[in-house]
Amino acid sequence: MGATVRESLNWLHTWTGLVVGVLLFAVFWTGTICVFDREIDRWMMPSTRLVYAGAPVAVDGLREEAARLAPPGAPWAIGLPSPREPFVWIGYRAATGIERKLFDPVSLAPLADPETWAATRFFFPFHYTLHINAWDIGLWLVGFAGMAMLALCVSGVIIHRRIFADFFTLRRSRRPQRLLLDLHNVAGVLGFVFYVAMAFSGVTIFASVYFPSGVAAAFEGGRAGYVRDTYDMYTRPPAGTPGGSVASFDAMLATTREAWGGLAPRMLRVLNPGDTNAVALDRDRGRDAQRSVLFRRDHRRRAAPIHDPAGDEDPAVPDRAALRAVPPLGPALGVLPARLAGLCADRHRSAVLDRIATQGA
Amino acid sequence: VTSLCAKLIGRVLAIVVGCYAASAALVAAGTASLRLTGVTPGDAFTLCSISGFLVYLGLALWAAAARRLTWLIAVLALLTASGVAIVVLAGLVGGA
Repeated sequence: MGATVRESLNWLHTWTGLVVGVLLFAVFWTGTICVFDREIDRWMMPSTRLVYAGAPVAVDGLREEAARLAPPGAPWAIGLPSPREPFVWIGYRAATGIERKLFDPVSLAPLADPETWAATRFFFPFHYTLHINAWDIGLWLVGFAGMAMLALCVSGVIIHRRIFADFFTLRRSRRPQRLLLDLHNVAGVLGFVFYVAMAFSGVTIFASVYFPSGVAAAFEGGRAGYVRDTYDMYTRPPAGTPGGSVASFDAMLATTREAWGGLAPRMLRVLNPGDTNAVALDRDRGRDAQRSVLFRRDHRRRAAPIHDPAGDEDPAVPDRAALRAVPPLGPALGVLPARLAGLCADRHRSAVLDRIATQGA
Repeated sequence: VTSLCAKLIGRVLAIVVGCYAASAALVAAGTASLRLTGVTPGDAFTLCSISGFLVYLGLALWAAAARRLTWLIAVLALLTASGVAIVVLAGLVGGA
């Protein structure tokens, strides 16, 4: 939109910055807040300011409460405490959406309803959806802002004729606009790598949303195939036979903890209540990998894992080892998703998982 | 004034929509091609989608700087069409 490339990119830099700048500020601000989301939660939810020393929770004591809360036949889950989230919760899908009831990890007494979304449920989703969930409009807006940020970074460098000299320039004696522009140059150059890294990692995390064409081309079954292949989301259809009472959750948790070398499970999910294939599933977030243990629950037998909990083998899911080593690019590329997952903070991966959990892929 | 306005809207649409369509088609084409050579779905998609953001970035900057709007739209349409064609061809080869 100019006579030269530099003028055109100047036009792009100015107008993109003006239009997208406010949105980018909101995204970066809430993202910064979310570094301390659990702490803000504790501050805004006084009833959850508890001390959790790491002792195993007697979850079986919550079974009746969970069965009472959740709609009949609907899946529910029990979240286990951690030092930053020192309470137990029962989660279930109600008519109004996902509901959570909080409990003391030691006495299992119900805690007062927090009556706030606080940081983990307000600021964190706002950071990448703006809470506009219809047709994923919020996600797309934030993704557009992220791409605009990348374009701003690159065009900003190109339009500067003397970027090295400008970096050392601060003309306080001139008009205020000149001073602001000089500050803009210094801040831009100092933070350049970080701005690029933040915007690029941000859009990459939701690559499967922004490039549905690639998902459709890569995975059989499109989005569902992507979720099945990429995440350890163990599911199992109901067997159709009533299972009666069920084996002990505490025993399952103990088995899992032993199999993971003392690593505590974070969540226990009951997918098909009252069925022999009623699967209780524990998963761990926030370590090097997400691992799941699948149990068949049956009143006649002691809780026993269906498959080796330390490995990845389960007949119900595709062989994940096969995803790692396929010629010719396989060995080189196989590490890529894992590396990326490691680069992105745990909270970002859990954002994707939360979306999958709440929307059912 | 109206022609200037139309040109501006056309340019913005080309940057936002046209460049996205081209890069999405190229991501699908790259993914489908890699799948044909035996790369796993996850690897193929990860590599191509990450590259796709860079492709979009490059196309968007070029679209802002390109002299003639008609030429720009023609190139973006060509890129989109060839991406779609590669996906269709890969589907035919893979299905056979």
